[in-house]
Parts: sequence; C-alpha cells; structure tokens
Amino acid sequence: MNPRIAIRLLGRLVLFIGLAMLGPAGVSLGYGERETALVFVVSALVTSLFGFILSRIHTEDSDTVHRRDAFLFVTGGWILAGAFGALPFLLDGTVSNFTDAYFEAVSGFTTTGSTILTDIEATSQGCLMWRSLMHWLGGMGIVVLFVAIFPQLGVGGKFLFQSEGSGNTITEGLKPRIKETSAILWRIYVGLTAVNALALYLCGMNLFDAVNHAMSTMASGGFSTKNASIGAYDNVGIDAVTTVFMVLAGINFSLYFLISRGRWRRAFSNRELWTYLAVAVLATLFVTISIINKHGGLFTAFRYAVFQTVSIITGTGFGTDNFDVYPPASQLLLVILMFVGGCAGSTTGGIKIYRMIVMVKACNRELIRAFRPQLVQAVRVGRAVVPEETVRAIFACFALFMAIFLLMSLCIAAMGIDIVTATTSVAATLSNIGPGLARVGSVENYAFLPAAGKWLLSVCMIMGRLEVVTVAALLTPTFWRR
Amino acid sequence: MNVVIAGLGDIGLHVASQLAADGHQLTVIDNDPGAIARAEESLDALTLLGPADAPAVLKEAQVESADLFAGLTGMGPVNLIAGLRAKELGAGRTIARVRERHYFDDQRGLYPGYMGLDLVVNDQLIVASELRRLVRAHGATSVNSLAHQFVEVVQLQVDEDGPGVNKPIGELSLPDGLQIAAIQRRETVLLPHSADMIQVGDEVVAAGRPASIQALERLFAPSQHRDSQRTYIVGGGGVGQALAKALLAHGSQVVIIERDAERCEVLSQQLERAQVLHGDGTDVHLLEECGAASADVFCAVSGLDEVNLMAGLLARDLGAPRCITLVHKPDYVHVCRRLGLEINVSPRRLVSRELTKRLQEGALLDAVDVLDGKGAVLELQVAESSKVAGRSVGDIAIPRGATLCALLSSGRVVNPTDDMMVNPGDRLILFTQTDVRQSVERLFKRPLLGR
Repeated sequence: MNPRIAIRLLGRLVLFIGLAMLGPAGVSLGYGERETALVFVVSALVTSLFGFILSRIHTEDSDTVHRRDAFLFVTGGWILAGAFGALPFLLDGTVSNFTDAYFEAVSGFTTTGSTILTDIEATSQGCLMWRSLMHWLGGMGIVVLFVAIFPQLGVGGKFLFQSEGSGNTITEGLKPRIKETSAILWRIYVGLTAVNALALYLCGMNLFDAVNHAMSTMASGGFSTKNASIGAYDNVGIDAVTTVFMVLAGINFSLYFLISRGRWRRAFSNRELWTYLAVAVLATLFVTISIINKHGGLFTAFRYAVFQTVSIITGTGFGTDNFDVYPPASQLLLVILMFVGGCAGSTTGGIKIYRMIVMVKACNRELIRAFRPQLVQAVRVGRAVVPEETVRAIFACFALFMAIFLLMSLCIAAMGIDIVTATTSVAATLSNIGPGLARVGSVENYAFLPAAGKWLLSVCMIMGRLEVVTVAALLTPTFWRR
Repeated sequence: MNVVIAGLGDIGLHVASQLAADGHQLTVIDNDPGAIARAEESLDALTLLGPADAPAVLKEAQVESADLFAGLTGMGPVNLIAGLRAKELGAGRTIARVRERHYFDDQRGLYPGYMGLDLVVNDQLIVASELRRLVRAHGATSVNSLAHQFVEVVQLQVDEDGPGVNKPIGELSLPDGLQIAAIQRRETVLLPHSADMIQVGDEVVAAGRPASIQALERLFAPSQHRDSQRTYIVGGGGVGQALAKALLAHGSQVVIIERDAERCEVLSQQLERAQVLHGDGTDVHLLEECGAASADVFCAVSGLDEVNLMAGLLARDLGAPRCITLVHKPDYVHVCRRLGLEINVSPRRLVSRELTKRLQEGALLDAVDVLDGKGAVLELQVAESSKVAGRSVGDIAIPRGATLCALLSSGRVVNPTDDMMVNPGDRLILFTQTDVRQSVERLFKRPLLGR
C-alpha cells in the first residue's frame, strides 16, 4: 500500500470539486446574488488550493494504483467531497453549523436527498444549484468522472472504478478500455439529463427548476428547489416526465451503451431489466389499490402511487404525496423497496435487483441441495452464468448491509428516537433514498436529529453509496497491515 | 491403395489395422516411440517416428504418392495442419480428426471441403449422434443410418408378445418404405417371405425411412414404446456433453452424473437445463437416490469401459428399461452382450467406419455390419455400365442369401417391387449374409473392359 499515491489522487479530486464550484458562482452572478457568488468563488479558491497542495506531495514511486490505495482513495474522496461541499453552505449562512452543512453536502454527493433545510425556497439560487450539481456529479460517481478526466491512471483506474460501486462496468461482449467506459457512461448521462431538462421545460417548469430537477432526477438524488418537492407544481405532465426519467435512471447504463451500438435485442433481453420493471409495476398496482379510497379515483390514485413507488425504488426520494399516511402494508412495501433499489450499474441506491435475483436463485439451489447434495448447478441471471465468487460476494455484501442497517438503527434509537423513525431513517440513508417514515417522512426533514445522529447517517450515506464493502474493508485490521 | 496415417492412438491403431486387413499399403507416423513399437507388433506397415505436422516427416512418408492421408492424433490443430500440408504436397484425399468442440460451435463447423480438406471427423460428435439415435429409438439394439440419413437400419430384439408377433409378415400393416430384411432365430439367419412369422426370441433386421422405424417398434416392442423423456448420462466428458446438448435441444430431461467436481461446474455452466450431479456413476446409493430406476434411457458414456460396464449393469439391476453403454475396447463388446447389455456403442468402430467409407471404390458406398457380423446391409450405387442398370428389379439375379430392402431413386425411398426399373444413379439397400457378400458386390461391378 502506498498512502501517498492515494493522497495525491485525493488532491486532484478536491481540486476538481473546487473547480466545479465555479458553476454555481456563475449562476449566482446571473441571478444578481453578488454575495453568494463571492461565497462560491472563495470556496472554490480554498478548495482548489487545498487540493493543489495535496496533489504536489512528493512520491518516489510512479502512479501505480493498487487495490488498497483505490479503496483508501475512494472512501477518502467521498468523505472529503462532503467536507468541501459543505463550505458554501456555511459561508453563505444557509446553514449555521458544520454538522448540518456536512450532512447536506454528503446527502448531495451520495444522491440521497435527505435535507436538514426547513425552508428550501428561502435559499439562494446559487446554493440550490450547488445542491443539484452535487447530486449530478455524485450520481454517476465522482470517481468514474475522475477516471474519465485523468486517463493516465491506466489499470489503476479499473480498481478505482470497481471500488466505487460494482456493476458499473460494461459486462457483455467486447469490453471497452476502462477510460472509454467511464467516458461513454458520462456521455450517456449528460445526454439523458439534457433530454430530461428539455422535457420538464416544455411541461411548464422555468429553466432554472427544469435543469435542477433534471440533474436531481437522473442522479436519482431527490433535492428539489421547492419545499413541497415535485408536488409543488401539481402538474400531470411534470409528474409523468419525472416518473419516466426516474425509471430510466434506474436502468443499468451499460444497456444504453448497447443500444447506442445498435444491439437492441441484447439490451432488451436483459433479465434484470424486466425484473426491475415487473417489481415496479406490481408494487405500483399494490399501492394504487391501497390508496384508491383516499384519492377517490383510479386515475388519481395511480398517478400518485406510480410516482411514489418509482421514487422510492429508484432511491430518488421526490414526493408528490405524503406516503406517511398510506395504509401500513403500502408503507412497509415502500420501505422494503428501499432495500431493493434499481438495476446494477444505474445511479440508484440499495442492494440492487441483480443481487436480489442472484440471491433468490442461489437460495433455491441450496434448498434443492438440502435433499440432493450431489447437485451442481450454476446460478444464472437470464442465460448468463454468475461465477461462484460473485455469488459469495453478493451474500457477504447483503449480510454486511443488513448488519450495518441493524447496528445503525440501534444507535439512532439509542438517541431516544422512535423505532419507525430510527429504522427508516437508516434505511433511507443507507440506500440513498431520502425520506423515510414518521418524523423523517416525505413532508418532514432531518433537522431535528441530534448532531451525533446526523454524523452517523452521513456515514450510512457514504457506505451505502460505495455499496458497503469498500468502506467496511477499511475497518478490518488486515487492511492496514503491511 | 497407398494410405498414410498419422497418430497411433486408440482410433488410429484401430483404423490402421482395419485398412491393413483390407490389403492397403500403409505408412504410419507417430511422435511416441512406444506407440510405434506397439504398431510394429500388430501391423505390417512402414513406420515413421516424428511429429505429424512437420513437412520433413510428411515428405519422408511420401505423402505425395498417397491416395489417402488421415491425421488421427488426439490434437485437432495438429491434424488440420498435417492434413493441409499433405494436401499441398499432393496427397489424394485428406482426412483430419478434430475432436475439439469449439471448432464446431457455429452452424457450419469444419465442413467437408474446408480449406481443401476432404473430411473432418469429430469422433465425439459421431459418437454422440449415434447415441442420440439410440436414445430416441425405443426397442432397437442398434440403429445406423445410410444414404445421407434417408435410410435407417435397425436391429431389434423381440422379447415380448407384441401385436406383430406370430403373424405372417404379409399380413402386418408395415408402413411404406419399411422392409424386414432378415431374422435371426437361434443362431441361424433367415430371409423372410411374406408367409413367415416372427416369434419371441428372434432378432429382426429392418431397413427403411427413419420415420417408419417407430411403427416397427410399436409392432414388436410395444412396452418400450414411449417418448424418451428422462435420460441419465454417466460421464460428462465430450461425448456426454454433446449427447446432453442434443437431447436438451429436443426437449427431454437430462441428468448427468460426473465424478470430477470442476468438470461438473463447467457442465452446469454450459448446459442450461441439465441437472448435473457430482458423484460416482457406479455408486448404487447415488443411482438409487437420484432415481435412475425411473430413467427411460440410461447411458454410460464415460471414458472408462469398466465404469460404463458397471454403471450399466447397476442401472439395469435397478430397473432402468434401456441401458446404452459406450465400449471403447472392441474386445469387450461380446462380454457386454453376454452380460445382458445389448446396446453398445464403440467409438473406434464408428470412426473407422466413417473413414473406411471414404476408401470404398466403385459401387459400394457404405456398409453396416448386423447380427454380430453374420450379415451386412450394403448401400450400392448403380453405375451406368454395370450389369443391373436399365433392368427391372425382378430381372436382377440377386444371389441366395441376399435380399433387396429399399431403393433410393431421385431422393425418395421406395419399397422395391419386381417391375420397378433400376436406373443408373439409383442407390440400392441390400441385406446380405456374409458368405455371399462378395458375389453381391460383384454384381454391381463395372465390367473390366470398356465403359
């Protein structure tokens, strides 16, 4: 292991985040918010300078990145991104203390979308833009973007890539080189976001809101520029457009890559895609039926049910309706869907449909093996065989995920918070959703939590975004041994 | 004829001895001094030590004057290169044995004529397709196809009282294009007339269109007639896998029992719907537990004769109605028969038949030995200048001990009747007892003088 390399890379990453802050500075200037613009310029300068100094640290070795360096760098990168992302909120006076600012920034980068702001509409345009921009950068992965920008990383980039959430790679057929992969993914991402923004604009949003919501939607984030989220517009067109793009954000991006190469059939025969859509449709039907009386009409019930369900399963966390007052079965279903998440290689959080399919199939196999121990059977998703190591890794990842969920819930509950709030707040942050139930429900926010709780949930968000293993590996003593 | 054979493994040696017995001039090449020594003991042939794909070795073997070059080593690429080199040097016909499956993964595989090679033989595919024919047949103990698979020759053991037993053959409603060629009753071979009756204990040889074989089985082996839904395969090597793949494509259930854990993994990954069990095919408990007794067909096709034999016997003892065993050493075939494993497949025989077919000259295109070598079914082509061309079937003086089974005229199989004309280019399928085979073949020979 060579921590100096990780630190140098971190320097570059921080430098890059500093540069990104110039975007909101420009927006502030455009809206005549001179003070906010100054805040962003100062933040950008501070951040860039820090990053520049780190990146100048002398190393005797070449830029070879090993696995452990990659883990260190990726985890460190997300922690630092939160710290520097918090700077503008503090300087602008939007948030009064560092804890809240850090929570908001981490929630932004990890595309969780949980907020501690009680009045979003009072916030400056520059800060709103910064929140959406953090979502958007974090959605496809800041490290993936980093690899695309610094192609000289070579093979080391592959480790970075893999440790920031698995399944992002293009798996079928001829694999493109790693830097091409990240460049392609980002191109697709930018394209979809642009189309989304245009669609929202045509549905009647103003340009600023349309761009912000598009960035938030494609990243499956959840930050809105309105207090009442998407519900503030009460517009069927906007609901529909957002629903469609949330679904699109939950699909494996390598399928878009296949489609762009003209391999439609291959993309549409993907088993995970259809399972994902089937889960979404069934859950929507269930919720629709359960709230039909509340909304007094099939169409209205369906409109709200589909939006909330898709918002939860993709981990976006937008709201058009308060699902905290839904019947208990629907509430619980939505909480379960939080864990399920979208497809592997999408911007969504949670355990991911792919892993769910693998676990169901592997369990089925173990059941048969209980009475027929000689059976040898490969686990398949569609026609593709899942290697045994992957099956094992998936079970380990699931177990870790659940263990962290239970442990964190216990810690939050120990702060005197009721069980529903404690468990759903952890579920919502660990899966990068946003709203939970009860006191962190869709019309509430996280401001009331004690500082320790906010720090714990920040950790949850980073762990969830990096799919647990990368962060958890740092906690094992073996990792630090020479 | 001059024949050069490269590779003296199981198959190479068997083919070489067959060809030597037929009186061909033989040159054999092998890399292994031990194999050369063994060949010198059993063969009268020129032997050459060296790699078969080396140009110097091929030149020394005088490939340029060979009528046939056969690359039969265990390695496909070596055989292919040796075959190409031989062709380049001027060998008449070249045959390469390629057993690696991935060469045949696409639609065409290594087709005849590929890069000038006359034939590419994949022994595993040949064996697997033979096995598949046997699995899909119901009562037959052997099934062979002739004339581009237009005709199948079936050998059937009549063990039970079926609707066709003890009835004059003339009164049986045999399907069109099917003919009962011979009956073996207590060691004697009979050529049936329409008044003869088939009895329990007889062994019947019939030839006809593949689709008509089922009707025959319904007449003489009714209890075994059901679709082969569940097939057990012991041994998941190349043959087992190819067989399983073919059967799965046909929609039947396949259970594979394989001893090697890693191989099991590979099988389970490559065969999507097969059930792969890791275990020993000769383990009675395993066979009982996995339900081998309820198998419609049980195939023991591992690489070891001992395992195949034992697995076959165990499965039969458990009550599997139909057991097919792969027997590598031809000497074991008789023992298997005696032990009650009627249905045997010998890879060496199949491959050497495929190869010797290429060496047939003149009218004889193919031959299938039946009734333990007491008779044979021949496929003969009528040449323009031969004695039979232009005559009616009734006029052909077929020797006693032989009978005409089918006539293949312009792609159609018909039951021959006396007034039917035999035209040049037609193919005749004849059953002949071994002692009159020579005179039957002579009948179709071109006259020595003139065209």
